[in-house]
Amino acid sequence: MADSVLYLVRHAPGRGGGWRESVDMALTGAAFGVTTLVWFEAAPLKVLARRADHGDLLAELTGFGVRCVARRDDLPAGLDGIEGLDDSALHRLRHSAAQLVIL
Amino acid sequence: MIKVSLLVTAGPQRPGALTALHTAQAVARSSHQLYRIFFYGDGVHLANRLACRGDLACDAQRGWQTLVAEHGWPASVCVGAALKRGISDSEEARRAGLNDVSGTLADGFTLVGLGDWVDALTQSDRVVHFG
Repeated sequence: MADSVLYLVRHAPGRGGGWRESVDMALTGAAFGVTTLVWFEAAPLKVLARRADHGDLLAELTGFGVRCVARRDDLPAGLDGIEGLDDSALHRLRHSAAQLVIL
Repeated sequence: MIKVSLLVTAGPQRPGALTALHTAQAVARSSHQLYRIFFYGDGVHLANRLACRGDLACDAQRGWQTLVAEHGWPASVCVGAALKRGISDSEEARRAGLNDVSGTLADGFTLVGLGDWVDALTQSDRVVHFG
C-alpha cells in the first residue's frame, strides 16, 4: 500500500488541462495524508518561469505540503518552492517513493 | 493474494490502453484481486459509449466497455476529467440541463471523485499505471 507517491509532471500550465489534472491529483493525495512529491520536467519549468503567476501556481502545491523538485540543471532561476536536485538525489527519490506516476 | 489497482491515463489511441486492458484481464484470471481501475486524463475516453474512432482506438474502447459490462470490474472514471471531455452519466447530464439525459458513460463504469484514486493508492498492494 503506497504511503508516498512521486508524480513526474510533464504538462505545462496553460496548455490544455494536463497541468490542472496533475495538480488536482497530487493535491488530493496530499489532502488525504499521502506523502506527495512532484518532479517537474524541463518543459513545464520553462513555461512556469515565464509566467507572472508562477508563485501562486507553485504555492498551491507547496502550501499543501507537496514537495516540488526538479533536476538542478533544468531549474530556471526564480522558481522558489522547487528544489533543484542532482541526478543521484532524484534517482534516490524515485526509488524511495512507493509509487511513481508519470502525468 | 494481493490487491491490484490500475491507473489508466492512456487515451484510446495509445497502445497503453490495450496493454492496460490485457493486464486487467490477466489479473482477473489470476488469484489476485482487481481492486480498482481508475480512469483519468485522456483515459476517460475509454468509457465513452458513443465514441468510435476506428482501428486501434476503437478496439480499445470496445474491449474495455465489453469487459467492464460483462465482468463487473470496479471501473471508476474521474468525474472532473470526464465532464471536461463530454462524458457524463444520466445524473450529471440532468444536472447540466441537457435534454438527452441518457448520458455518454458506458455501462458498468462509475463517475467518482479523485478520493477514489487515493483509496486505490492506499488500499492496494500494487498500483500499475498505463499512460
